[in-house]
Amino acid sequence: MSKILIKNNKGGVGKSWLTLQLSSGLAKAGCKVLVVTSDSQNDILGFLGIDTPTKGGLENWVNKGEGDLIRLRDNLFYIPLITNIFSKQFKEKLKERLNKFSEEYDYVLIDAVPVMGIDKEFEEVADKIIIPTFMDNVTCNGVEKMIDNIADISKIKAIVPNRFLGSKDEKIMLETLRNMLLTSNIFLSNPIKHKAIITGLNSKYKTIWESRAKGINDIQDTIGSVLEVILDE
Amino acid sequence: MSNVLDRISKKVSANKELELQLSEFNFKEFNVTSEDIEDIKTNEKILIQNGVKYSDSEYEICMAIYKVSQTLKKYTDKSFMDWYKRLGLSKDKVSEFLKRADLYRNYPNYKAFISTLSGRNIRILTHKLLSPEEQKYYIENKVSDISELKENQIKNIKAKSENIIFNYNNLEKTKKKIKIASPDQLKEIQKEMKNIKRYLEELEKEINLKNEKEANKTNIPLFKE
Repeated sequence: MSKILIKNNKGGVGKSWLTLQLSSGLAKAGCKVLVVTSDSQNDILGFLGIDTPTKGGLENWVNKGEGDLIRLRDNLFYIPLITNIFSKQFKEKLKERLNKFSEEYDYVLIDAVPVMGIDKEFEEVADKIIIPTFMDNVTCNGVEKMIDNIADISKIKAIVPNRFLGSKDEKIMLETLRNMLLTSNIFLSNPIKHKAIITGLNSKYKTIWESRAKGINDIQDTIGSVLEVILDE
Repeated sequence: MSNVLDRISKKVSANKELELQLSEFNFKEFNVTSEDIEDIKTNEKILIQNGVKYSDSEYEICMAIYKVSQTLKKYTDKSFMDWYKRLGLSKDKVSEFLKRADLYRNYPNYKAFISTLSGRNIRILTHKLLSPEEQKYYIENKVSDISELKENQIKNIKAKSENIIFNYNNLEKTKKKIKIASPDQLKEIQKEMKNIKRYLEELEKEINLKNEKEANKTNIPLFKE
């Protein structure tokens, strides 16, 4: 059905983590979800403590129509990436393959690492784009440039401030961003606070939906608000 | 399941239901291209989803007006009217909102259907001459083409009721009131009864005059005017 691209040109802002939380939330809510990555480090597997030998991931699927498919949770599947080098033929066939996936799954989430050079294809094929970001000058300037460079700006549905420490500068940046987005249709979620509980869950290989701790409620609320944006047609 | 996931699950179910609601229009029969099919299906989704939003909005509006009407009941009779007029709402529209709110409150499981009813149907369904059983039947069976049928029925009942000269219902009620009335209330009732007697005497006089006029209608005038 829908293809959701989680994108930021800066590394380390929490793309893979956010992709995992969004996809596992959708899966828990009863959707059949596939996560595709352009990250050959396959961080999502690391977050869940899965160490499965992979033979051929996205490359095989694109070139041969079959490949690794790792079950992460009920209703939640993952296609890893092995290589960083993509042929012209791969790029041409990538969109076709992603469209095929979207016929089989309710949602396909793409964890897009910017350095791969297949960004354009992901962007073109995506129905919606979600942008995780930090609330610092450098990252926000990057986001602004990224928005300017995205061909179809209407695809950008949400910006998610991540690892928010609540400093004065971050608050000013958040307010500036909020004012900037007032007249747009882009949803600015509440910031995801930097909390020890998240580190704790990561070390236990759990998603935020698998915790009953009170401290996780506000994070679930925030991710939930982004899920609602995804679910809005 | 957390509250958030519960909310998301409901939304997922609603989306899946939406997919099922998409029309079974036979695109092949009209040789519609796959691109146009996609476009039409996207617009169908927009139509259905906004229909749901429209229904929710109508519900919210009606209930908000109903709540204010209840709150302002404590004050003067005019306060509610003044309030909605200042909002630019007309008496007719507010009356329709309140009637719809009554239906929403009485049939909470039929919110979507009630929202689809036209103003005319709302007036008929909440008409005092429509029995509660009939109202229940039409709502629970989602009958939407009630207008003509019921409007005629109501007109007939109204016409019959216009043939009734005196309504004795109040007199029957007064009988019950007397049984429990205090001395002061009895005085009030007696005062009312005197007024009624006076009215009856006046009516009697009117009838006599009319009869006299009728009897003299064929008399030949003695003097030309």
